[in-house]
Amino acid sequence: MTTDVVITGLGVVSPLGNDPGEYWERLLRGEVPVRPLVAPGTAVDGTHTYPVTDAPRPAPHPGDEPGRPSGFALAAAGDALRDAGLADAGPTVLDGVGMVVGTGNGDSDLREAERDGRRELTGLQWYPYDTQGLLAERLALHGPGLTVSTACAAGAYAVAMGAEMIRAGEAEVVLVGGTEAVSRPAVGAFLRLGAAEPGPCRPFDTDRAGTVYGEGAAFLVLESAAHARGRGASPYARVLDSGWSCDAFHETAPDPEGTQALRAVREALHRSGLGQGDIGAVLCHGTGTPANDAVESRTTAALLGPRTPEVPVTAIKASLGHSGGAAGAFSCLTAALVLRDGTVPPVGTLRTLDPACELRVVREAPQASAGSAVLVNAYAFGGNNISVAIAALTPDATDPAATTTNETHGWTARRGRPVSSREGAA
Amino acid sequence: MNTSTAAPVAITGVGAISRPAIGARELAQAADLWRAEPTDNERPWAIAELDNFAPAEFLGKRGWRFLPEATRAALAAVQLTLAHANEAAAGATEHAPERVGVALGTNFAVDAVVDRIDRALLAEGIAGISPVECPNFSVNVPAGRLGIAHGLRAFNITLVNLLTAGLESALVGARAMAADRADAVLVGAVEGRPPAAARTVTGPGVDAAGACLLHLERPERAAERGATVHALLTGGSRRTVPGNPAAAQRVLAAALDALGTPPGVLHLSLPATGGAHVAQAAEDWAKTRGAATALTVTTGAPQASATPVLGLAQHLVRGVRESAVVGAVGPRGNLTLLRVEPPRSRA
Repeated sequence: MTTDVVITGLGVVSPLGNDPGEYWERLLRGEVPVRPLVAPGTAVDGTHTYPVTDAPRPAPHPGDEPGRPSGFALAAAGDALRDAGLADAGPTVLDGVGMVVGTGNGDSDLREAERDGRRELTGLQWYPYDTQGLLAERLALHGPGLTVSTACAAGAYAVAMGAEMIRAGEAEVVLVGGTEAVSRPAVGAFLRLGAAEPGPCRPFDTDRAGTVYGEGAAFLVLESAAHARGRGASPYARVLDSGWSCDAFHETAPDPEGTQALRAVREALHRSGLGQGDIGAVLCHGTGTPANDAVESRTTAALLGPRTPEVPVTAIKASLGHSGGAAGAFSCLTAALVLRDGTVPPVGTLRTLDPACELRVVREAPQASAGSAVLVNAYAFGGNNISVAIAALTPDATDPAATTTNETHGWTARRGRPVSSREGAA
Repeated sequence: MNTSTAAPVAITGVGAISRPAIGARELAQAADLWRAEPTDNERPWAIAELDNFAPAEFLGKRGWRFLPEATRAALAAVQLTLAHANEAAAGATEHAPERVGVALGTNFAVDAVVDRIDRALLAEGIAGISPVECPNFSVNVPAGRLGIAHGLRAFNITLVNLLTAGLESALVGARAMAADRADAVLVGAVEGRPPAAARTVTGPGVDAAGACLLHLERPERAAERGATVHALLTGGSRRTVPGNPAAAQRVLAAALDALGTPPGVLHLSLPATGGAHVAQAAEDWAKTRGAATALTVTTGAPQASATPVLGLAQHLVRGVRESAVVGAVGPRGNLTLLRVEPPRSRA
């Protein structure tokens, strides 16, 4: 029998705020907090990015000050554990808590600061991919730990692999998420490749010209439904299954045929036991690059078939920028909130929908979701594709009492009625 | 992966491009990689070039010169691994590319590339960045190149925990096969040039690049193909070992116990500094279980995350005659253990 996996805690550090309530409210309003990057004396100064402007400062830890991504992750992961009611759990629980962190560039900022003479490094600061180990140490988690770096798909892989840890019986509780900060060499490489948009990120817009870097961390507590039920936790949603594939086509460009991206999303649906009619919304990878959005428009329409005109589709990079290895985790966290509230946020930058895009892209105002499951897509350099299916709670996924109290997490919710997908304009 | 629930996976191919050895035959004859030698932390930092590797022999005359050293090594290692996996197979019936996955560990595959890009940007601006080198800033590109070179489309995953990522990739690969995501998976590690600060983990002497891959497939498929099975990967266990010795003992014991009866052989690969409490905990575990387990421990990792994979690969190609648990521990206590068993008789 398959183990049901539920989401019982959320935490974010983002350009839209540092708690899921504020994040969700501002995402529903379609805010676009893009700003010129402040990096005086360097070639990336003034490049448009979506920065975290009021990052929480991690508790002092002599000789082991983390980089920005690890700092974001510490705050978001701690909040997710608190939200799940596990922050003060003793060693009998924490000993077994697993963790999967997705990141593209890791704590690149520390080495950048060393190169330009701003700081000297100590401890393990020289290693950019130390976030998971550092979190395990600070949060006293001793279960299995992984750091996955499938570039911009890493956050979604972290969620999928965490769910697999639970299904395989390796852990009852797994903290999963992604973290990323604006990285100077990565922004430089994007500018050199001509893949950066000189303004806000505009997924599916006919005038889109590239992606825009963002940053932040999104973490989720995944738990077996039985474990959550046993301690009276109130889940947000269920993580079903995921589909994985690789284009094996080009190191940076997607395969224009989209064959493997479509295989991944179909596999996610099939492995999750879902049908086309269950899809309530699609959270696209939606980077704003001409190539990605063109392929994703076609593959998503192929997946939705006759339901293409009615299923709301969104791309949260319009409001967050492209946070690389964190992006897929942001989408999974957002999917949990979409399912909790039945509301799909708009693409805040969409002005003129690409005429080649047949999808019902949500614009201007939120729309109601059109089914019980949300599909999250994430794609990356190396041709990595993943789609994750996240679904609304079922009565047997948790305690019947808990399903009726899904606002106990304290995040602001259900403000303003979404526009029904049948009455809104696509 | 849990021994009680996961189906065993056959290890049918080994491919090494490394300073200790190129290819399975050399690896079997190379100096014992599990021989414990004290790390001399007073030695000066030194990077040994991978000068026993001639990329053109594997990759031809063109098309590889702009690739990072690590990617060149990985591309050659995958050729060796696939050839080794098909060596004994009658007709070498290969798996469909859409059913073959790639999961690789790395710590430093692109470290030097990112360093060059950033320094070029600081010195000369965006125009100073080599457009050819740009895509290589992403640490998953070496694994991606393997997928492209051989059309491997099941999945393509890169893991990056210090020292343990290579062994972790074998667990990820095995679990993906158990979940029917692939019929075969190439796992292992690829490494590039580390920064000097890494010496607390690697030790003072490191290799400039290297790769070591293993070919995993279902035992029944290996039998159908007539492939030689070097060992069965029957389980794995992952934990995070605390720094406190008593807590370390508790967590390590739980990880080892999860793999079933004590193995005949237990090898742990530890960082150059800070792993003594784990070695002690392993010794204590063997004593308290009354096990006749032969324990070996090495400290320092000249090939970073590829070090424990190379050690395992050498053990495989020398012939697995009894159960073995092979593990690595990172400087933050990340622990990955793999259990391998001798191949079953074909009779």
